[in-house]
Amino acid sequence: MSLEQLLGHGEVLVVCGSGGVGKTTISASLALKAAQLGRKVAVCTIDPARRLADSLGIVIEGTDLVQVKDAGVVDGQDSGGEMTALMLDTKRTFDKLVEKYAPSEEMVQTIFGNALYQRISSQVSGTQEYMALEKLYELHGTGHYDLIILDTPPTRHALDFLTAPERMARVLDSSSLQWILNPSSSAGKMSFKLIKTGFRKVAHKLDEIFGMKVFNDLIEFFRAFDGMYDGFKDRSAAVKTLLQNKGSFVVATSPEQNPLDEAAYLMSQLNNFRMPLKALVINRYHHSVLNEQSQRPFAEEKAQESDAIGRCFKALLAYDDLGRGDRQRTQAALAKHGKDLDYYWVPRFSQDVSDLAGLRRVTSRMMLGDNHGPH
Amino acid sequence: MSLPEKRLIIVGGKGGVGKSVIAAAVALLAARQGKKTLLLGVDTLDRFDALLGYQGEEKSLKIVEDNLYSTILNPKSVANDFIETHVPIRTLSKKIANSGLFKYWFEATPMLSELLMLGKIWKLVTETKRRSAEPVWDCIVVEAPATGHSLGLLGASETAAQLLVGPMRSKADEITAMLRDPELCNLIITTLAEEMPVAEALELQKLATQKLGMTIGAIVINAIYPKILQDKDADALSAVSKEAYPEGLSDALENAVQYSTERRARAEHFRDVIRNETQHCVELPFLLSEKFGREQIEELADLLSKPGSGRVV
Ligand SMILES: Nc1ncnc2c1ncn2[C@@H]1O[C@H](COP(=O)(O)OP(=O)(O)OP(=O)(O)O)[C@@H](O)[C@H]1O
Ligand SMILES: [Mg+2]
Repeated sequence: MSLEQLLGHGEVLVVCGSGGVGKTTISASLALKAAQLGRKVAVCTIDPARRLADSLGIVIEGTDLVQVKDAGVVDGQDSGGEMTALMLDTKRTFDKLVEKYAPSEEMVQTIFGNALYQRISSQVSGTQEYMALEKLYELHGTGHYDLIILDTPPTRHALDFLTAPERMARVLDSSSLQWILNPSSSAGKMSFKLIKTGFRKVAHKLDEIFGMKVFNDLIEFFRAFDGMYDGFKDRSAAVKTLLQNKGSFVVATSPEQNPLDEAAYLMSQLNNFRMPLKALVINRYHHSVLNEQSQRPFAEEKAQESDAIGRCFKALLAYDDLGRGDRQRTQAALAKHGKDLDYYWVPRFSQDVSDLAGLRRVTSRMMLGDNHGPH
Repeated sequence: MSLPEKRLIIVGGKGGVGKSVIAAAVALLAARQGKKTLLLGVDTLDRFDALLGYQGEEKSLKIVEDNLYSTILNPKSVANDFIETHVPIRTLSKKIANSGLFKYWFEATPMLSELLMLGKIWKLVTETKRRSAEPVWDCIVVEAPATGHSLGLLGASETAAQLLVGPMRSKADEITAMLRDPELCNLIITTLAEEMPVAEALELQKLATQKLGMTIGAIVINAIYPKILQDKDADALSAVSKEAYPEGLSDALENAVQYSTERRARAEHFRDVIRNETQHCVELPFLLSEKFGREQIEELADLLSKPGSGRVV
């Protein structure tokens, strides 16, 4: 299925890739295309560049969401599509989840007041990934949108965001921790007792070093979450099913080595997780232009001259080399897992993409597909 | 100026500007000066293999060549160290380290992993040979994580000292003193001649000197686009007849000339911004090669070793 078909008919689209490749820009321009196709689309971004956020009217969720003006208009014709862009608020999303599953208002307050929860809900890596998926699920559940596009957090460990809900749910599974937390429990096996002792030793060492009540916070935290575990577990299973059945994944990268390596790793992981990877967007490539038959040899000969024209041809060859390098690196890095994928290329524009006009440029170039990449 | 002058060299800057590349080149240079050198990445993917190659392993270190070793420090490895120190039974400490809970706990305790990583670096810097007071390592080159995280890392001992008491506090103070000692430790800031990296480099320079009291060894402007064209070349091009050119070439030529002019102008502009801000500026060219590996690192190390490496392009 082509990207255009995905945007025209899909329900959930997840854009992933390493940091610094322009993931937010790609996510927003995909959303724009969907709106141009007449769909109601929401794009949930993480940390958008200030200028882009301002000009699109991207606001932190929770505040009144605004639609991007004229997003559905193509060549003066209104397709009827709508685009809403919002920014993830990790802590708020987590708070809402707690409110939903906590058995009582009292428990909600205990959790909100817990020092460990305050840190976990905003700072710990893994939380953002978890909440991004939670937000996706929530938005999908409202039924307000035809399509939801998720811009994923730039994680060092690329696929953390897929396993985040499960890992978090596992950590919150306090039943498996009774043997640590409950000093009087006779967990039976000797090794458990030993672990318990070891665990407490490390915990107390930390308390001693930092003069804090890490251990007490921890106990309070898990007591509070006791009973909510099943809710969290069901939720994370539901998110996974949603992704597998209704989701499509797009990997975004730039044609540089580090992002490409990460994209390749990401693609293999998506395959392992049986997540439907559908397309690959290569952002900021150099637009190589010369064909091998006539143009390149001609330019090479001309570049021998040491005059002004010769130097112009040298500049042309240097530029062509950049584009060739981009293409070669990309194909070499992605060959293994990208065989049956559609490639989409977005050239390096001389200006920043910071408004709707810029996004429109990205969108129209991107949708041209593989034939318009560097040759 | 010689870059690997101090015993502890920390390479910082925005993500993707060439920190790994510069750290590798500086380390290679140090090793070639006969120093026993350790190249250490903090919480990053291991790119050193691809950049330098390696011959074998020794404990957790990779042997690059005679005098040069490399390794990666990350929160997980220091957390494991920490647990092993306090729970000496191996099978036990392993079990604890592998429980998902611990990961969260370590991450949720502010600055803990930063502090432990700094502590490890301090240990490496102060470690001496068995029979003498000489340091084990003559030069340790650290690739710091990208700007925001590296400020968190480098400031951890100072911030933590305010919370700590007793022996841990004096340890933290010692670490801070190490980072502040201009004879022992330098920060090398890496940037590209582009808007955002330069803004981050200058911000890092300011915060590292004013807030952390560190000494800047150099700002390295990496990958400066070469000056291919002269001033009037574009005019000469528009004056010339292009009838004999293969189809499509004329447009391509115009685009490329425009690109080259703009990119070089931007590079010069941001290079000058840095030149105006610091005396210790080192400039390296953009290498127009498809691959980036050992050969390119050697080329950059050679350029760094030349006395005039202040102005290479
Ligand atoms: N002088 C140069 N000329 C041409 N290309 C370069 C130069 N220096 C670095 N590069 C390219 O830039 C890319 C990024 O470099 P590097 O991996 O060192 O960045 P980094 O700052 O360590 O990134 P990260 O933040 O991911 O650790 C490399 O793939 C390398 O090919
Ligand atoms: Mg690096």
